[in-house]
Amino acid sequence: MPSSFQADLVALLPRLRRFARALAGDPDTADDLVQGACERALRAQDSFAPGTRFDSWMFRILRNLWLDSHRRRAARGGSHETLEAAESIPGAAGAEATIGRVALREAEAALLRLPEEQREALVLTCIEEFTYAEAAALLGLPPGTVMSRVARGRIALARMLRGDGEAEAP
Amino acid sequence: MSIPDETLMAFADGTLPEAEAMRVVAAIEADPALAERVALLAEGREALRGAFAGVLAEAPPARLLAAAGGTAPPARPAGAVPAAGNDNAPPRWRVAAWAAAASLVLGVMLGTQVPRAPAPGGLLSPAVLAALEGSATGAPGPVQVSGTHVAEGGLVCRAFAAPEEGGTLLGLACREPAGWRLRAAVARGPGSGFQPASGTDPLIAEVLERLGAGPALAAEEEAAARRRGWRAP
Repeated sequence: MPSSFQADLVALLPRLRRFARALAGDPDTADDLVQGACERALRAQDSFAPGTRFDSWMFRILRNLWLDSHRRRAARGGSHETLEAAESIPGAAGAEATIGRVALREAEAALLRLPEEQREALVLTCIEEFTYAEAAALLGLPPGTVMSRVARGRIALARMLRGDGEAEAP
Repeated sequence: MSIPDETLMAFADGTLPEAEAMRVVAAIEADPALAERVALLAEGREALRGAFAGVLAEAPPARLLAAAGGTAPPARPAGAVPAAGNDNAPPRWRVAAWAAAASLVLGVMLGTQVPRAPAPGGLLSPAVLAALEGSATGAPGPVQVSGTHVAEGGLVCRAFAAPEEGGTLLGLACREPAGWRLRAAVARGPGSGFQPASGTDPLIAEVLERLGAGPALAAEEEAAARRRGWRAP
């Protein structure tokens, strides 16, 4: 039986790249993530349930890969936050190279400085436009948790962009 | 009066039911700190509108197209796509667009996306038609046929390669009662030179798969199909 799996995957590449870029910041790391996710998806394509959302399924695979690589780096030393802050700086510079508009560039850099859990919730709902319920299912979290992370992230982001200093304490 | 951020966020998004929204409006009027929070929530979302959108317009790099298309050796699922013997220049974004289009409108020619569609209206040039009708697979000529396949319902389809603008136009045409009809075309960009099809292009293979086509016919089967005028056995 012919399958549209690969064509669907190719069609989803631009959005996967955007999601990975927003998670990782650095373009090369982001594309490595996308490539890894595609390879994993093709090996696991039998586990995709037809009739469910293909994009959610792929985003979940990519996000799990991202978490795995994060845990490996965290295990090598350093706190999560420190690593995050350190990694977000080249990431912001990477974004700077491709996006011309200053406000957007600042918003992207600010997004990359947010804690991981707020960032992924924000990216899924504000950039990828999943509903809170869809994002919650994708992240394996209760919708209320996702909503509170998104709210905290939106406020922290706005404060950073206003120059109010760092995000408020969670 | 304290209102949770989640409720303020729904208010900022305009998704709060009216009765509740009125309650928030009243609270905001009484408490400037709440109004400030709503403003921050709205700004936070607004700031991200269009973030990382630049990457959407970029052509994905060839390595990702290969990974997604299953042409990278470790990623190929068993039996999904026949081996692509084509290791010339990597496919360009236009090619991927074709793959995406193929998933939606298989068999419909997107005329504007085909560079110099051979003959306006007919889409297949006389040289291509002549090769489809009379050339055996692999026979030399300006247009070369790379394989004959029988699709669902006995439909005979032939993959071909035609030179164009320093590159190659790879196509798949099927013999319908009214004549040959182009079902898919892939441009291999200038710079790669003319590459007589040495194997099946991955995207042509994808379209063949969707048509329920079997493997390429052996020479004697192809000769028999030709004697039948390329009609279903």
